[in-house]
Amino acid sequence: MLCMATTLATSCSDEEELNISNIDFTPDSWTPGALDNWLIQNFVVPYNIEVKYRFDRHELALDRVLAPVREDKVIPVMETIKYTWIDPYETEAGSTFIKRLSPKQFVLVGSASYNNNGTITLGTAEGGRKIVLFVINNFAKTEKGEVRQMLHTIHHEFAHILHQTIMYPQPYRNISTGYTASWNDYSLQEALSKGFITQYARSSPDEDFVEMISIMLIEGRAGFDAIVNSAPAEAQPLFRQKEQIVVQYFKDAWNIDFYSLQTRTQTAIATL
Amino acid sequence: MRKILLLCLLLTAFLTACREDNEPAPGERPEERLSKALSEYKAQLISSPYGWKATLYPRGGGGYNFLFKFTEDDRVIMSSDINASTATALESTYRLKTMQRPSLLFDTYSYLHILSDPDATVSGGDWGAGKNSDFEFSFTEVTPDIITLTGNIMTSRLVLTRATQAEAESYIAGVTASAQMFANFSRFTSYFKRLTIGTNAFDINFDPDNRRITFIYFEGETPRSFTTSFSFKADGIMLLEPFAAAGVSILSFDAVQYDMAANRFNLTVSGEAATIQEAARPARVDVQAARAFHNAGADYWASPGGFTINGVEDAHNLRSLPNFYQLSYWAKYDVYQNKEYDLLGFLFINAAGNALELPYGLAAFPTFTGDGRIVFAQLGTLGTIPEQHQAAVSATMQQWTDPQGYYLIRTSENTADLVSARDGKAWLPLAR
Repeated sequence: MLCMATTLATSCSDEEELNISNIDFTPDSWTPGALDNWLIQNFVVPYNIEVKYRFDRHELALDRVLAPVREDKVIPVMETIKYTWIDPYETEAGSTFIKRLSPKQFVLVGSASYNNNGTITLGTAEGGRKIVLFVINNFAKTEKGEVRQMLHTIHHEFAHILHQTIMYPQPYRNISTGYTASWNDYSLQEALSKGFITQYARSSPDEDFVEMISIMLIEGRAGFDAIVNSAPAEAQPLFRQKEQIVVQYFKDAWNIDFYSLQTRTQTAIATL
Repeated sequence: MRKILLLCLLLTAFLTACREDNEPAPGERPEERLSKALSEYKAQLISSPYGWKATLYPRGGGGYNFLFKFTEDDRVIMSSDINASTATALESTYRLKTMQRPSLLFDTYSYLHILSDPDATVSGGDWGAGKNSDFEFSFTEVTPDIITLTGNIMTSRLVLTRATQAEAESYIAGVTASAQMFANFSRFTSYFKRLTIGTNAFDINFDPDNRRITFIYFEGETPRSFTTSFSFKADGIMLLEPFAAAGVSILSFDAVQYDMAANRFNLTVSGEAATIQEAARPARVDVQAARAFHNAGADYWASPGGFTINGVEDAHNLRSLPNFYQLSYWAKYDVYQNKEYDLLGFLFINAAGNALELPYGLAAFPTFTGDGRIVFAQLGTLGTIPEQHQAAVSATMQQWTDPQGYYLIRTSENTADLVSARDGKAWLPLAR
């Protein structure tokens, strides 16, 4: 009995390598073209950011009907992102800031993502690592409204990364009341009257915080002031309190002069 | 002792199991076979010097032609007959990849993606769905000259056929010209479009926007309809499923020509001469249809724009009446002097904007003729008709009570049309 057990032990104590299959079911390889080389030179090498433009079902929600990007939209979109998002931050916060904090992957989708509740999704982010940008096929640098809309998504998602790295002051959460998951059931006017800069800002304090940052950057100081002044009088102090916390947060957490960053972002959009 | 014996047996089993050699033969590991399959598919795709003719049948219906030229560097040049602007060659990318099965992916935007674009203004389909088409396909059947693929998500069908040099030059131009010729179908302003092949005649419904065709035929006394997708081909159309009934089998319309003077399509079907023309009445009348429809109708049927006349929807401008919602047809609405009468009710949105109201309607006695018509004899009006509505209401009443009456054409479970028996040029679309 003992003897048999020993035999068993030796026979199964493996001397050869495990026969693990090296199956790579996803060989995402193709002959690199001019576009691939441009992305390597402008995003992979300097920032370690991968830009996925060829449609990859596994990066996206499987229950959505989506269309891939047009190849000729990729460079204009990524140039715009570099010029209006990366460059202003780099100038204000130094070259390591973006390298350290930027999401490591951009996934580009040609169409919007249509939701069951009648809304569309323009962008999503996962854990500060990946940003998915939709509606790329409608992009044109000259359409400032659409440029702002896309930047809105990027600034929104990047602001999430910032506060997930260093949290914003807790009092921010108590400035407005009326956070709700069914934010899209309420009008923008109603949101503004409660001190929410957008309808979506109503969905939670985190979204509120990043929507404030995003709108302040894409609309500029004058644009932001105009929105605040259009809100009911009782809501205006709420916006000013939030603005103050945002500016202070950028100074304390990241040593960034927010108003200067805001000006640079505006100049970049205007001179695109 | 017995336990030990059992144990020994068990251990012996292990020993043998452990001695087994599981190394597959060289080149037979799964990843090696998959990778080999992918390179073989790619080699075949790029092997055709003049590319591939292709037809895509989205799950949502229709058939669309393409010419693909695949190149070694994972790029594809295509043209298509989806619309007038897709005939110009466009370059995009493709790649071969193992998903659940070896797959061909069109992975940047091209003409093919128009059909699956979730923006309804691009696809002509539904918001968030497009025409339920695909741009990722797995290889279903492969012969040297024909490759059949199946969409990975929607199971659309894509068939590639090796093209000759002549086809590469003329294929898309030919099918596009064919599509343009069939656009003359919009010159038919009658309800009935009749396909005549020798002594056989069928009412057909031709929908070039969605590339679907319907044939109406009879099984004994019962009317039936057969609908299938089609794609354009040079001088004709090719049906996805053949129409086989009443002694004919139709797979395609060939040698189609439009005769403008006669407003008629001349064509051949399986080599036999045929015509498509508009008609004043059905190829064959279902004599029971009107009565059966009327007898069953307890609910009301909605007609959002009232009568279509000579191809013009809402011919009496009902939608221009303030707060007009829809025209509604009630069979057997009520009884007057012991006779049941029908009502064409004018529904409006109320002043508060939160409910519908029926301020007035037209009443008529229905009668049924032996040849299958329903005739509405004017009884009068119910309710109060505002002065500014008079013109539209009178015109609707006059049309509805045309003494020639109507054929009832049941187009689906929940749709039907009342078609003027006078000339087939006026009809009231109904839905519930």
